[in-house]
Amino acid sequence: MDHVLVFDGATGTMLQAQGLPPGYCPDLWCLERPDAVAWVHRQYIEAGAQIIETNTFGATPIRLSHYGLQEKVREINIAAVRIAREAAAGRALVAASMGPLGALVEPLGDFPFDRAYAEFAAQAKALAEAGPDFIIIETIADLNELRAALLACRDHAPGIRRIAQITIDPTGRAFTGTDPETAALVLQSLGADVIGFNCSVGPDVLVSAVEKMARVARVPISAQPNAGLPLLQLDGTTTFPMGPAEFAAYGPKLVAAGASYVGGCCGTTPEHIRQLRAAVEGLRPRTAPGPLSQVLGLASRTQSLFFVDQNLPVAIGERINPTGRKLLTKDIKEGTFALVRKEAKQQVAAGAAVLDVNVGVPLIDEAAAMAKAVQVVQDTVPVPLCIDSADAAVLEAGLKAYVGKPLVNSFSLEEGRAERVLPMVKRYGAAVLGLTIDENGLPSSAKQRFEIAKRLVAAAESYGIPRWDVVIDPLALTAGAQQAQAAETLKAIRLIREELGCRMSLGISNISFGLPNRHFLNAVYLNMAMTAGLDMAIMNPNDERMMDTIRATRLFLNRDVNAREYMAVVGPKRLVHTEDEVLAKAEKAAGTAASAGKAAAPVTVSPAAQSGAPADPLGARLYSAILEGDKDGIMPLIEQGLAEGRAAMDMLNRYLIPAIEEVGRLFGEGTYFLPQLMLSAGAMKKAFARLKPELQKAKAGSAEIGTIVLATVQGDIHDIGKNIVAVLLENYGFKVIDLGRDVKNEVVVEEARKAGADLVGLSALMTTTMPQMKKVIEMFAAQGTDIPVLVGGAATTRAFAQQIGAAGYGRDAQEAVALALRLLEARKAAAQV
Amino acid sequence: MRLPLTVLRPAPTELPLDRQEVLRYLGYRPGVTHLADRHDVLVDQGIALAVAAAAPAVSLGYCGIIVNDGEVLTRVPGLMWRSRALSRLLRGGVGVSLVAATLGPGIDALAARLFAEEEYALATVVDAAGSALVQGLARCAHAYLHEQIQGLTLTPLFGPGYGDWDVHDQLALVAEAGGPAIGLTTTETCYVQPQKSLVGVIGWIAPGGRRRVPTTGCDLCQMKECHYRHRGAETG
Repeated sequence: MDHVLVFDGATGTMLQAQGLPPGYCPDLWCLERPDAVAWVHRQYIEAGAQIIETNTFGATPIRLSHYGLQEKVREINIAAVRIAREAAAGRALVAASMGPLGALVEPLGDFPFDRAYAEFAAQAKALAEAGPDFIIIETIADLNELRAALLACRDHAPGIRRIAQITIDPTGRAFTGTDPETAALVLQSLGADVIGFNCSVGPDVLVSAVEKMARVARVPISAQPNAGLPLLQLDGTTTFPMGPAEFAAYGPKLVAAGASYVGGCCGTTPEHIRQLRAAVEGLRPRTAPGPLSQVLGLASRTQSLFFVDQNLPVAIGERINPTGRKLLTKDIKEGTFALVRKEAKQQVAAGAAVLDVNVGVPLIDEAAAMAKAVQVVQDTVPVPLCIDSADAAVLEAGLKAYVGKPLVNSFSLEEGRAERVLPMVKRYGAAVLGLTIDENGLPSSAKQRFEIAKRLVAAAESYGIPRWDVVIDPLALTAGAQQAQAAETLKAIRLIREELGCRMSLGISNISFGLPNRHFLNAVYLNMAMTAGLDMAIMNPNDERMMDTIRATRLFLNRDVNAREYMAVVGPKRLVHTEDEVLAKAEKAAGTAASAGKAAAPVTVSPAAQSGAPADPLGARLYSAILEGDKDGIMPLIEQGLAEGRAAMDMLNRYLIPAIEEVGRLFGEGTYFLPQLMLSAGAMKKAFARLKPELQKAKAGSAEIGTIVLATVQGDIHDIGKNIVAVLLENYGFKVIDLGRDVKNEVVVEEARKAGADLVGLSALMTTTMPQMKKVIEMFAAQGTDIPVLVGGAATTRAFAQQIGAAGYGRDAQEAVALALRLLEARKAAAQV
Repeated sequence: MRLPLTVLRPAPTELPLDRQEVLRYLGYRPGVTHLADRHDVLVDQGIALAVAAAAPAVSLGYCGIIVNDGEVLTRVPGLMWRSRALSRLLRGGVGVSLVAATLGPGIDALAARLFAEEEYALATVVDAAGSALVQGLARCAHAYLHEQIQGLTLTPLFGPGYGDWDVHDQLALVAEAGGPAIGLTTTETCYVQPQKSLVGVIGWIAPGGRRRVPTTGCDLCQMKECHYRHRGAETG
């Protein structure tokens, strides 16, 4: 693209200005008031819009059925495109709008995926007849709904270019958790010709989102923001704060961030578009591809994994596979999937970056089981999946159920396999693992494997699957039976990687079959394979030696910067290495606790607990207990640690504080809700209370890091927010003097003075009592006291805090704690100077 | 026109309670927040405790109104409200129900006790359930009025402190709505006591007056779980 193209703005409000009655179907005006619809288009074209959107935002059967118009899908869509074409008269391109269904698609909601697909397909068929320049799928926040719409458009309107726009909120993610990079990766893999954002937020929020998307995008990016964040009025209407000039000023910023198409959504008018067009006139879109646009990437609904050197090598967890496992077979056969869920959690907690899912149980409906397993696993853990089956129909069931970009395991050049697997890989936008097997089976030499790999890549490319989405597995054979093959596989890794540039994978455990000390052999071979260029290993991540081998390799390859991961995970270990040893040690530890009369509570590891968990078994259990908010289970662990002679300060700094910090992070990103935060805070408080006398005994410095006086201000009777802050501050080692609620200003000042407080925190719910905060600050100033005062509460804002001279403002409890820690550090640093 | 006060005391178990609303108050985000079974149990336990601790009561008064641009004059001497938001809401209105609703002090006390006992998570759930329950109580009052009043349209409940309606008007409104009769009072700083209480007005709109029929936004949308529903934004 040479030039930035400008879309039109809001349609609904323009139609209302033309007399669209309240409660009336806007799309129906394509039939009843084509003059009014055309007038809207002309307004935008005359303002400078180069692409106009048809009045079909709600023209799917389900949306039209709200007005009893479900039979008019075809008629309305065709009329809408014709009206837009005529209004454009060659001056603008026409994009047919396809909006959300108004129902949450499975698995988040209960609207079936197939039905969502059928709804979009009905509209796409009509649009295919009408022939717009684009179909623009917009204002959808659920990645799965976007998938349904894109697939329907690909199938039923194949010649028409597709724009897929996701809606994000002010946190920079869709409310369903999808981030811009993940949206880009998934949508372009599914065949979107343009990807981007519209609605919900203003251009200010979209600038950074577009920047993130541009790192991944290999197709153009569009951005159609609202005129700022909408403000709901009391009569049910919505207003938008951003005028045309302010809105247009963001145009060049969006283009600089990577957008090639810009326009407006709710709250924008022809004047917004006129000024936007002027602002971007002459600007050229960025043409350089993003650094992650042509590399292998896998994604779940909420996160992406890019296979760039810095992130490699990684482990693909192989444990969700019923082969030779009776209990897992039973779990899958009976449709319980409790063990599947448990395996998923354990593997991710152990450090797996991707999980392989295989449900190969004889005599079951394997396709249905795969769909269910994929749903269960993606509901349990956030990492991307690898869908594994020898049966193409089972692979397709998994692909359809998966919301993200998975890896398909696998295809080869055996008769018919590539032809069955590759079309569905392309259709669902997946990456694929190719095994170096052809019609004659597995060759013996590295050179032959390389030749097959070339054909695998060519086969994938012939279906439109890019080379970087093809991973090659040169297959490890059993060294006990074919010893010379072990070296050939390593040679093949080196050769294929260097010559074809593909990412390389290997199932490791087969190498040691039939030999003693398999864990040891597997780890050594893994190290050799990684040195040869292996990027990912399909393996048991619960095998600590294997995982530590990866961590050590990452350290030596300078990918684990400053050895942070190694020091955190492997550093504290007394080199325990086999799974059996770990289990034995864990049992011994549990036995110790039980013998003390306090049975250790079962500790389950949260799906969110990933690489941050320590590998020292006791440390890992302390960490997990905080993460899980297990206040009953944590005390036996603390006692065990003390009995083993561990220093209280060491347990606090190494396991407990990192765990509560992780809890804060999970709460901040929405993975945890408030009760989970408070469960963890409760467990932390108990642990800290037990360690406190030990810290004092050991004279390991003060047990508390500082003193803070908290109060709900004079006249305010609400204190639950302040109470939450108090507990969290204690978790981080603050001595908290909680003066309660409705506390007179003089009392706050006097108590702070008496306690020698480092900080004061004040809470107020309503505007009627917020002035008390200012009075307290003035009283401190009058006394010449420089104690920093933090403020918070429902009606307070950062601007208010600045205005009254407060040291800071906490939007929520977690932010208040972070602020308190920063202020305390600054205060201590100033005191030292 | 003024009508005598009506006091309703629905059973706590009859109050409509939206569990998803409780979760939203607690920061739950569909598709993002991971809940284990025990967290669901905790939420259910908190809701059950809140329902058991609630003693819901609603007092309903009435007064006629004259709506001008930016102000609402009432038929009660000395009672006038200056608010553009309120006047827009009540445009075409002939009167308002004055509403005072409370769940009583039990939930406040329960949440405080749980906090003191270091049952922090349960305390936050009880608090959130109380907030959802009091909304349910307001819906009860609205439904009751809807049954009683024929031929008029009712506005949603709206109270001082929201939009540009001065929170200080709450003091007189509580008295006129009969708050003290159900144990609902305000502090000088306009905080209602007990905390799980609501005060406001429900407008009576005459036939032919303005009817609030949303053409866009959350009321029309079927996505009850939508994040934006909570925040009040519209899409599309």
